[in-house]
Amino acid sequence: MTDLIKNESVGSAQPQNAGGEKRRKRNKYGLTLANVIFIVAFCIVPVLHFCIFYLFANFRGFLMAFQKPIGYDGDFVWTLDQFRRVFDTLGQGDSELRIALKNTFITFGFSLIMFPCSIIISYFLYKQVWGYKTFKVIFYMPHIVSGLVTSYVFISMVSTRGFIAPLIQKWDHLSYLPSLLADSDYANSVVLFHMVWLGLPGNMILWCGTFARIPTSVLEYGKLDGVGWVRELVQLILPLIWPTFSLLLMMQFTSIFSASGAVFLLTQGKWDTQTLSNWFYMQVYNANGDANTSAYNYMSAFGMLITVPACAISLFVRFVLAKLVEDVEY
Amino acid sequence: MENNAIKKRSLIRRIMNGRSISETVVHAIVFMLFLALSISYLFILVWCFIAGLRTHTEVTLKPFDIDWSKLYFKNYIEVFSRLRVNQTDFFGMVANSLYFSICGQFLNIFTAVSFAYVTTKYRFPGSKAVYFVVFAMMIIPIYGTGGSIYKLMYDMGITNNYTFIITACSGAGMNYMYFHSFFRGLSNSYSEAAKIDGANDWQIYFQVVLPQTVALAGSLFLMAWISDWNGYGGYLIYLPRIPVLSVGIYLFNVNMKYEVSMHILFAACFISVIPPLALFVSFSNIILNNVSLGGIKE
Repeated sequence: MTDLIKNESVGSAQPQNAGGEKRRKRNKYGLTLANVIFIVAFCIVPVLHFCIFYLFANFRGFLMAFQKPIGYDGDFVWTLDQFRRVFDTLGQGDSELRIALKNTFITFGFSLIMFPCSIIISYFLYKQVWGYKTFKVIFYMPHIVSGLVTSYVFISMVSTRGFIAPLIQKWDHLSYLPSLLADSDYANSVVLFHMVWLGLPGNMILWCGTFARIPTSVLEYGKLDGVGWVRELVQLILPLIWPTFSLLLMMQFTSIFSASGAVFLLTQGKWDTQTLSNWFYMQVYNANGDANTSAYNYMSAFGMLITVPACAISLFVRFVLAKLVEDVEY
Repeated sequence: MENNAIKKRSLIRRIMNGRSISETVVHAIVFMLFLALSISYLFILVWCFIAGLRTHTEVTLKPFDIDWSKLYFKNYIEVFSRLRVNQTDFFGMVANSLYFSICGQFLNIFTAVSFAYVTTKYRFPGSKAVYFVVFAMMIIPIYGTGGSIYKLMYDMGITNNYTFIITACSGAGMNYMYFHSFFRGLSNSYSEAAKIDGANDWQIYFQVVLPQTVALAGSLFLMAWISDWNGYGGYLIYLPRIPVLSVGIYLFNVNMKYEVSMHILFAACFISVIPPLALFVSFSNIILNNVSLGGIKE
């Protein structure tokens, strides 16, 4: 395959009947006016979208962190109050934000563990474990079935009238049936269990697609050398899928502060299950359509404080992953 | 006797499928684990369907003690009349869901394909920077901007409005990356041939390039459609007064204080699953086999 078409080919290839036509004017990039109109037509919408919904929205969010609304007509004063409020809240041992931070890190830890699990599951589907076609379809089900449905069914399963609460009662030798989603001792573990249960296949489609591109000859050579499945996965496949692996792992670290289970649907952040992602969501949800609430300024200030370490982590991970293994092409 | 032994051996060979004994053992363990996970996933659907056939009292008090003689299919008919949220009935919610999920995702994919095409195949100021900007947007996380985005959309008048769909035209994100990767690997020969035959940029794009993206774009559209049909987070905040089906079901559950309708809730849940399930079953091959970050498979 040839590399990118550049304007030398796109712009300069002349129609066969162009002999009698006037030679079109080209700019220094070799583009005619028609080319420019074509490019602008396809770029204008994404560029406007980027300027409005990314640049402007984020810049406004940055400014909002330093503002405090007065009244309901959109007036505000410049202040550092929101930051003070964030630090005061973080200083309190049992504050919702501290719980949210702790739970977010726990959830992130679980999602890191699930990351290789997803690869292993996809590997065995790729290696055609018995019934792999059916499993592939069923494992995609958590993506097909709405989170609402899975959560409502799960709530019934773990309710005191479900079949999981009696098992926990026996396991913990309790004299009562625990309300698993309304008890601080259990709620967060149950939310995590729900996340792990439905999230195990993870990016199965992407992994299976990536595995399918691996040249079979490489794996056959390995097989002739007596390579087992663990070595095949770690020493042969992993280096071959490294670009996808490193990109997805980096995306995982990028969303370190977004790690969350279905907290909103299962507990709405009550019973010590709050996560940062759900906390941010609840700030907007609870504002109930009020566009001038100070909650937005508060969340902007807190968001700004965690954006700094999040960016540092993300860039560091990218740097490390880029150094670790060289990209391969096949 | 000999026949039996041969049959046995061929059965064992078929089960092992050219694998060593240790590999067969590993595969057997993995098979059992996959089976357990699959059954647990299927259980969600089956239980949800059955819960929709029962009465409110039974679903609430004895959710897993099913009386098979008392199943009411009329519950599924009742959903159409009883699921009503913010003056929108069931069919209104379905129409809203279809509008936002189909039109929104079509705009989303089309913008991403077009943007990726011009930035990959044409050289102009900033064409190379686009990839890095999109990549940076993906890897640089910015938190806490939900409030400012809500304010922005409120000020623009697109909350609780069908024009909210314009937010889908980003052209960036993972879809851009998929198509960027696809166009980088796409041969120029067809485009060049069309150019020599006198085709202009528009004709080349719509008649030569776009048809080649159909498999990848189709897979991504189907996945995005399913995800959007099921999505509730953004819609609940930005469009509560023109609820999509998932938001309607959520609000129906939240408002269910003085009503006894858990069975209707589960029946509605099951009905909401049917379209994505049907679509997935019909197009599972396309969805499962066409996506990889290395572009379309060859």
